[in-house]
Amino acid sequence: MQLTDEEKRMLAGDFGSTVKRAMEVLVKLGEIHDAPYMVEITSAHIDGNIDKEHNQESIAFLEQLAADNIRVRTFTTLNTIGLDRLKYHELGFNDAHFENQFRLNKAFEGMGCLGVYSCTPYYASNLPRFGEHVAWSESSTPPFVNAVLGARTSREAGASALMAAITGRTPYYSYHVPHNRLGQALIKVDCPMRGIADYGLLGYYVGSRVKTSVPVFNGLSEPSRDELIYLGAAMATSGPVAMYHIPGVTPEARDLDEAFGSNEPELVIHVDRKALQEPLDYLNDMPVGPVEFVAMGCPHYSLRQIERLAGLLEGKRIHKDVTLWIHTSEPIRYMAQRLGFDKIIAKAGGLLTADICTICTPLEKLGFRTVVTDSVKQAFYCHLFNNFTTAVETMENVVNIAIAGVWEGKRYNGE
Amino acid sequence: MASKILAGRSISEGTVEGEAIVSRDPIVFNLGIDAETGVIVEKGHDLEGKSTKNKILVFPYGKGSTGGAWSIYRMGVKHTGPLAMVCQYSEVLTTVGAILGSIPVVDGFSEEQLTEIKTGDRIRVNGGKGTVEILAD
Repeated sequence: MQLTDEEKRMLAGDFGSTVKRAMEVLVKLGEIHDAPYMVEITSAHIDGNIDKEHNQESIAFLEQLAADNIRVRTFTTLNTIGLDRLKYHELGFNDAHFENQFRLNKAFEGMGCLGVYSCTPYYASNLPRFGEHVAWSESSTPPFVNAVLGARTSREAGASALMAAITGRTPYYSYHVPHNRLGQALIKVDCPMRGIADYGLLGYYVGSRVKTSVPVFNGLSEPSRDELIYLGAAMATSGPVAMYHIPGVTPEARDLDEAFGSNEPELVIHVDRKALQEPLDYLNDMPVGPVEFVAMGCPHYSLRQIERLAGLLEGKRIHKDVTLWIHTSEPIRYMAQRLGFDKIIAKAGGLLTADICTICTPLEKLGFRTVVTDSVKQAFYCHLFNNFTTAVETMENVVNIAIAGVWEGKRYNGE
Repeated sequence: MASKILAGRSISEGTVEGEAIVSRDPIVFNLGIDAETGVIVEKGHDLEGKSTKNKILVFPYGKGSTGGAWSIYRMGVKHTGPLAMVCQYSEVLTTVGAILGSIPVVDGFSEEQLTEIKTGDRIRVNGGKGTVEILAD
């Protein structure tokens, strides 16, 4: 790889052994992917900072970095954690639950990272410009950064985003290279899509089929920004998707020709209502009966989603045996408070949380076994490590279920 | 049967010999595998309930949560997971986790090539050279 003088000095150890190790890992990554050189990044987003993803060895590794005075060289935000820093007592947790999380926060913030603790950091100060090179982890963010913003990131791991932040560099590879951003699979959507649950199901279906290809969607009309976030999040849950095109909607494809460029579609996938039933058969396995836990905001809800939810909850009251959490970031919760949405939600019996998500939080400490949600991603991961049974429904139906307090195994019909 | 060598690409260095455990499904390293025991816990996964500890894990590619590099790192430093990994495509989280955790990895094989390796086969991975040798019985 062609390295600049400064990059060579990093590799030689002039900036210390950690920067040297980070540069070694990045050079190896670059070599593997035939990257000709490094690019300077304008921001990073680091995940893998949740306590349950760590043990004493990996926490000690990160604390040592901070102790060695390692600092990030670019603007760097931190991903969602299991701890709502302002309200964890209200959620039923105590300090002992988060001993390791406090240590991790301190280690990462000690390196100069900004603790926005959100999977939607673009709503909270980290907003790359079209064409900028960045290094972002957390699986739902690369599809948003690449496809929706038109900035450029590889599907970074939390650890590689940290190496990139420490050196301010990433190899020129993966979706940094224009050719790798071109479409490879054509997705023909033959039914109307409405709402984030629909888009989540579509994303889950497609992500499990396109493998490492870049999908191009035909037949979607005017998805909202929130729907795009949920589409990307679901594709990155069932597969490794980090880039896609919707001709006429996403900025790098005015039409199908521009989306594919010199590529021919190597795969064509047809999606209709019946296809969306497949992920539902897997994710809607909650037994019919009383509802204990309802959680929304995976990825973190936008202010608009909170506004819509508050509208659905206004003047209503959820069932007394139901716990309802709505996840967002601290800055968005603040804005929701300014607009009075948090009060409406609280009056209905729900709670607007910040920093956390259902997936990250030690729910087993609270005794839940099931969750009703409008997020395909959340349902999938709650199966995975909470061993929950789950139900996915539209936002409106989720609210109705929370009010009734009963899951009737209702058949999903979209919005 | 004579031993057979598959040539791939070097990802993470180190040479190791062991028993293969083959997955046809992609793996979610973050939370899809228990990093303290090396057991695959993803519901419905073709290796659900099986342990990868002290075996050589053969799989297509990593998927899902990008926090997975830490899981691989943890399994590497605590020796709770695979001895080495062989895959079609080592994406970033697999690569970085394996290099930091010193787990040999070789990639660059087609789906078909990987079907030559069966669970229970003795194989030798040379991470530096990028080769996998299926050893004779």
